Amino acid sequence: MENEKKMITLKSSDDVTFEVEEAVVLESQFLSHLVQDCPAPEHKIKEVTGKILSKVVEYCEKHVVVVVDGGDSSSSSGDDLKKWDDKFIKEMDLSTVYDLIAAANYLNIQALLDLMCQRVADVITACKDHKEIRETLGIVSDYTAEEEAEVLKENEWAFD
Amino acid sequence: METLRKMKGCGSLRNRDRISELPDALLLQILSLIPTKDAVATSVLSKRWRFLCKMIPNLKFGYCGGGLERFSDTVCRFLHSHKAPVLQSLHLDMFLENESTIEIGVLLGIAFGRNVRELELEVYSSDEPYKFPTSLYNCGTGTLETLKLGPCVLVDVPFPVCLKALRTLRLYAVRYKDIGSVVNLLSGCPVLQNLEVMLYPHDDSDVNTFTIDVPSLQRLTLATDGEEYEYFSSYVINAPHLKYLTLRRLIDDDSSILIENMPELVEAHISGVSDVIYANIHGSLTSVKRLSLEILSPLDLTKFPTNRIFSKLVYLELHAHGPEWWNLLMIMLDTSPNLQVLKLISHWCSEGDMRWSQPKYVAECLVNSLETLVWEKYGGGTEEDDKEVAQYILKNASRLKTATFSYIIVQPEKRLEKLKELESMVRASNSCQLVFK
Repeated sequence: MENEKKMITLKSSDDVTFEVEEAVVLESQFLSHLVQDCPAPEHKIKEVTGKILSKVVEYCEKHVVVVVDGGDSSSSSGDDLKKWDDKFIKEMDLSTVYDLIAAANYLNIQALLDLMCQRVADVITACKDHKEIRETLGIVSDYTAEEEAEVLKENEWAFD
Repeated sequence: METLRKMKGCGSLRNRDRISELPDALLLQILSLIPTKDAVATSVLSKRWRFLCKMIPNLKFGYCGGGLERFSDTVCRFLHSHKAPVLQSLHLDMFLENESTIEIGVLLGIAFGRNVRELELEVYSSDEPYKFPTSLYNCGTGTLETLKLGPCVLVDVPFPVCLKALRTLRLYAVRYKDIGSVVNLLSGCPVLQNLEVMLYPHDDSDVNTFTIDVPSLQRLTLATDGEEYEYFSSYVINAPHLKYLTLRRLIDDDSSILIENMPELVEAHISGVSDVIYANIHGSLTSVKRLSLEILSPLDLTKFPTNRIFSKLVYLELHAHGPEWWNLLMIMLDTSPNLQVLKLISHWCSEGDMRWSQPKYVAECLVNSLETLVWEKYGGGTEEDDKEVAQYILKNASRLKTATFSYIIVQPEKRLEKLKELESMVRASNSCQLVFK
């Protein structure tokens, strides 16, 4: 049982390196294929910055499924993991959330993608109207007054 | 991409509209998570958002009064203008009050016409339950993979049906017109893999037998609402390929349960089940690798099959519940020769008349295989018994690597006392590490 854990080095677009256990990398569909197909000790991920990759690694390390002697078991119980997730997203600004959505999509980490999309969805549902959504998400309307009135009328039922 | 880099370079990240830069697929994933009405309202944000809502694959509508006809009309019009290549899911959440429900059937029909893959119909009604349209069990069902119904839904299936793609079915506190409806529905699902049934007693129903006879089934959850439950007096489960079984809150001693052999069963969670009912199913679980038990004690040992061998069992979780909880533990240790992980969770209970007495022999798994002991809320049940059981395991488990104890006690002096007590216990395994939480 005392076999050495295989370590993998990930390098971000801005050359920050992270040394992680292979099991952590397997959380990402993209990386697990990469590691299998080319068994180099170091993998450069051009699309993700060091700041975001550190978050990705932090998430995957927490969520990695470890083999407890005997049976498969998650490293943390479901409730603990949920609490951890809540804290993880609470401390994050929206800009980081978008970067993580893009990174999770690229690296194919479904659970992280779901978590981040849920965060944005919660922000949108918490807004009382479209003006507040624009303000919160920094969206600038490019509609003319007439166009906006038309869209409002077209989808009237959604605004009562 | 070039402009994107430039923008990042100039450091004006604050308030920049970064969300609109995400590709459609990701924005649609976000919009799928909010009520469809709110998603449609985002069309006014900017031109980028105008037509996105017509492409959302997962739709969710809620109705709580204000005219069912108007609601239905709106949803129907939306479904007609909906352009997503696949209608992945439709979730309807309805609060009905003495209304004609014919409209719901119309919009369900449209969704089926759009080849919906997953339908969840959640109905709450002060009046009659909503009868799921009988015709829909047969029509357009070549694509329906998931169906979730309940609670105020009447399942009336008077004839054999065919839901040929249905893999997941959830029946949450629905009413059944008759026993035949259950049989017709389940036998019409040739590839059903996951079945979740929550039974709720309805006064006007005469369905008292619940039969699950599904050869393709891999995962089954069967539960009752937890109140004193006398409605379904018998359960029959015939699922020879079942891999995961969860039974919750089957507490009525007068009901009977018959489970056919499940040679492929890997994992079972049995909680809140009376000892009489558990005695009936214990022998059907012998192929499991992982088992979690929360059985109401004390066991009636005269009626309990103590000779079934769990040769594949490596992980056992046992809730120490009620007086004489250790009887079940001792039976499981004796009959699980390859057990590697034992997790115990103590629950408070009053002292019974019987005390634990150390067995005269040592269970095989303690000598040969047990490597991990985890005991949650140690000392939280009957304190003396917990101590003696711990002593017995530590003294005999010669391959134990870690023993983790967590307490409910908070006073520091008392904790220290418990800790010293555990540390002083004789351990058969020299390399066993004690962990306290």
